Amino acid sequence: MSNPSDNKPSAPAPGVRKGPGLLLTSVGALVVAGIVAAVNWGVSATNGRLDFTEFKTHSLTEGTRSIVERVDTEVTLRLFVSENEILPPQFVPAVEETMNWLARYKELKPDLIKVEKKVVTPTSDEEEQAVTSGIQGNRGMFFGMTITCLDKTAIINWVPELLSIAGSEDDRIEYYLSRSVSEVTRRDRKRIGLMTPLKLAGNQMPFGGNQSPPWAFYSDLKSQYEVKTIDMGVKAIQTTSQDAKEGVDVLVLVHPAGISEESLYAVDQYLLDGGRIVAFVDGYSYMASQSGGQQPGMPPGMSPGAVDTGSSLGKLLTTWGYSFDSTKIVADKGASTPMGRDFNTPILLTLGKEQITKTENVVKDITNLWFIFSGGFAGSPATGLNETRYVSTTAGHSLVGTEYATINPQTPEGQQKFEELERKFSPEKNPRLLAMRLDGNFKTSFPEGKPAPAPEKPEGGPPGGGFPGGFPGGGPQGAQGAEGAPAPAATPPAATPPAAPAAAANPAPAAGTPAPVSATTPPISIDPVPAPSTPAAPAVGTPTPAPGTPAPGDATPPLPLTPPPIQDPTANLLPPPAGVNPPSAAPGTASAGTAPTTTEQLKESKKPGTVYLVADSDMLCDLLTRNMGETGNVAMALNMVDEAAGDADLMKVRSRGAAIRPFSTLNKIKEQAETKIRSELQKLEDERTKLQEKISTAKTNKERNQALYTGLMQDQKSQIEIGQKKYQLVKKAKKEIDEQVNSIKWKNVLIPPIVVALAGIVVFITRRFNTAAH
Amino acid sequence: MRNVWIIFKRELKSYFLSPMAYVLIALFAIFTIGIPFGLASFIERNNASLYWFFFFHPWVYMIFGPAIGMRLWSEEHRMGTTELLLTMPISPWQAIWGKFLAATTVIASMLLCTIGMVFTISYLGEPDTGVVWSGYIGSLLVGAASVAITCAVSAVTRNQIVCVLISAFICFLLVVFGIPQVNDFLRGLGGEWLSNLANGLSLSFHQNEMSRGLMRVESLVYLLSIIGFCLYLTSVIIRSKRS
Repeated sequence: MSNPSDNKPSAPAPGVRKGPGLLLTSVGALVVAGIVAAVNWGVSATNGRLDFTEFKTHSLTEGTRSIVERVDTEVTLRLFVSENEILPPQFVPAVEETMNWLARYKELKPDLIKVEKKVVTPTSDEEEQAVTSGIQGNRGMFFGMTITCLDKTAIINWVPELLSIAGSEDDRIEYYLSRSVSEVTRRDRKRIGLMTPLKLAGNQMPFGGNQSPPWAFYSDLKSQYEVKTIDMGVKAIQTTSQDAKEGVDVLVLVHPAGISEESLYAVDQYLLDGGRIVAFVDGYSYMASQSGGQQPGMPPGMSPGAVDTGSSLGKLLTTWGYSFDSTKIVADKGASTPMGRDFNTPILLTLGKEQITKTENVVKDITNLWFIFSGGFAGSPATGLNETRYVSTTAGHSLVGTEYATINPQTPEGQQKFEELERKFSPEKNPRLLAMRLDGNFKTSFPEGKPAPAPEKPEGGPPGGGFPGGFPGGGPQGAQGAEGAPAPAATPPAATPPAAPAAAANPAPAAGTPAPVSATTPPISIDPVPAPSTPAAPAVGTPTPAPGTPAPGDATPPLPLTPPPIQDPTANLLPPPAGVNPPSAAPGTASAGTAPTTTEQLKESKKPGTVYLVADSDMLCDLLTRNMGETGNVAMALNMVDEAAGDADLMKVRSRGAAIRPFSTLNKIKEQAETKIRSELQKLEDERTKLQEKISTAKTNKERNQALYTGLMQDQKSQIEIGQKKYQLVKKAKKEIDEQVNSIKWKNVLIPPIVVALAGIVVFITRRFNTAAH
Repeated sequence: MRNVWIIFKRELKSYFLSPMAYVLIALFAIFTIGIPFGLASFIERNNASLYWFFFFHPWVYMIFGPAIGMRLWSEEHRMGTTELLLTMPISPWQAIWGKFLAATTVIASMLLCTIGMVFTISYLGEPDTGVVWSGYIGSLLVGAASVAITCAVSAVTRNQIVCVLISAFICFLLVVFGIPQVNDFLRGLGGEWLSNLANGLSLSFHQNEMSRGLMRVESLVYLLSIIGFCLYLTSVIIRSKRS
């Protein structure tokens, strides 16, 4: 299909100067170079882009577009950044990237979104402005942002950590920007209903004792939302669509132990009306076990005013398709927490990246979680519901009785019990859910209608194995205890709370100030509470004491993770904390956001609802977890509330998948290699235990029986041999993993050149043959 | 078009009927695959992304682009076949395009040999296919740009070694502008505009963006501009030599 003119030599006829000829001179080349440069310059100003990522990470989401679309007042996005000379070189492109993001917001609403860049130099007006706005520099550098609308200002303290630098396609800046725009343009503060028998707001000790500080979760909630306490015996809870003034946007339940049928009904109806719930139930709440103090002759937790240690959402959970045994706790060998040099306790769960679903916004920034005597969910979502998994156990877990929660593993007896548990341990095949989200159209758990009000219980009735504290609203005699309301169906009431520690024999010194929880939360804050920048999380499974300045008045000592010298075998793992709220007392509890009754029962969701479920409530108490260093516990909980309180648009921005794509096969290879040696290791460990027992017995008799002593020496030798064998096994497993990894590397590096070389040889031989034939 | 095809076939044959193409492709595979595994801890990063694989491509093209393109015109000049070629019923543009496309096909063959990396990360994890495609497109464009630069340089000189050295130096400059430290230095020298200019000119900057799955229109226009302008320059040089 060639043009006949193409076949002619292109040399111009002598003496004839054609148009293209001018173009093909050096002057022409300069002109063309100028045109090319101008075109490139023009195109670079357009900021056009094609986004090849699966989740369109580099493009604004529909959610952001909707949020910006709603903006009706001027919003200023102001970037405060140090001059380039001060910034590390790798951050310099990030400045341009940030401005590009801001420009994209401005493009959506150029008349109302203003973008400003303030270059901060030392002792300049810009620096003063940045500091006054609440932006904290990082080692003398500024790279933060304020998002202002009228009198509201949101702050993003440190932008680089939200940008993909060095390979990750995981830009998170959009989420934080959209969230900030949404926050500052929102007319009213969202209202959170908090329903708990525990005293999250801190506890004033009697007789002028020290006041325990509020839980960081509670403090952070209060700084962002209007928090209304909801009575545990509430009979109706309104959504904001039902009652704009008193309704709640999100209902947060923390260890709803002993929640009455009527209150469950209220929760059920709230959900069906489109309400959003964040619930922290528990297999064994340590904080609850310490409530009400100790009464002579009564097991801990059974004294008047005590809160039951187990909590569930009863029949609500069953209707949603799940079961939760509030008399069992999860023991997970794959997530056990080191308590000493050679001892890990499987009921304190150190959960790392492997157990956290990194594609979900609620947990994607979280690297480690610490769950204390957690329960676990089992089941699958009922029809119409969608399940989103956040945190699971490892496959090597099992449910065990709550009695283990009362054993001090730092005593020889305690260790013995845990060793016994290890021997008997039969892991379940599938991981158990520890945290998840359910959304969709829920159905009522009370198809028969509103439950009848529980009859009043006589004052001071026997606890009867139920919920001794009870809650306002009354309850039947016997099983529910004094003032108790009926127990939810799926919350086994018969569980006598296990013997909790009589008192901490080795109480840890007064704890430090609450860990800077907001440091683990997203680096954003709404004025007037600027959040500090996010520090790096410590390595999973490496508990380090959190730095903290001991504060007077902090009455809750942290968990003694570093084993103290064994002085008293009755000493318990967990010293008694303050900060628990005896349910019967509940002073100052208001029935905010509640109405006496609802007239019409909802049988299914009017609007899609959302429920966040977490199988542990102690994880929220930073007073307990602070000794684990930086955990993502509170951050995860706040993210859940944030997400639940956010509008659907913001949730769309959040729910965009992350770009972290781990080498799952490689992880499986590692797991397989470890599984292979696990049984052998266990065998050796059993042998070693037997020998140890033998040796300890023999030692007492050695003076009387020299022969036995000789045997003992032999045993000790065998023990060393077993240790060596174990070491060899671990070494072998590591070698196996390394071999597989190296095989992948070498196959990749060597196969392509070998194939190319072979192809070259084949071509060469074929040519030789052809030439010879000719 | 037929003439372009004829020249393309002739050039491609000359590449693949000599050991050169095979040696270059094999070396390219060893470098581009070996470097991420060896230097960039590819496995240890535990991320099914080819970012660190593509990260080094502009550096590798700095050598391999000139090595492939050096013979495009230098060889013709040395053998004295340029005039012969241009007296044939084809235009210089057709000859330039044919040669350039053949050299770019060798680059594409090199990239094809690294396809094992895609299978590897697909076996190890779940890569984002779009990002992988974007990275390969970016790499091909950067490779083609380095060939186009060499094509222009080879039109000037008959010495292939000189051609390789000059082309590699130009490519080196275009790669090194994208390094943050160099960019920072340039900022210190000439201010923000010089820094931005250097970034915009840098092959590595554009390649890195595409390896993240972000294909800016300015990157596409820039790389195509380099290719187009260098081929145009080749044409100017050849015509000036003829006259």
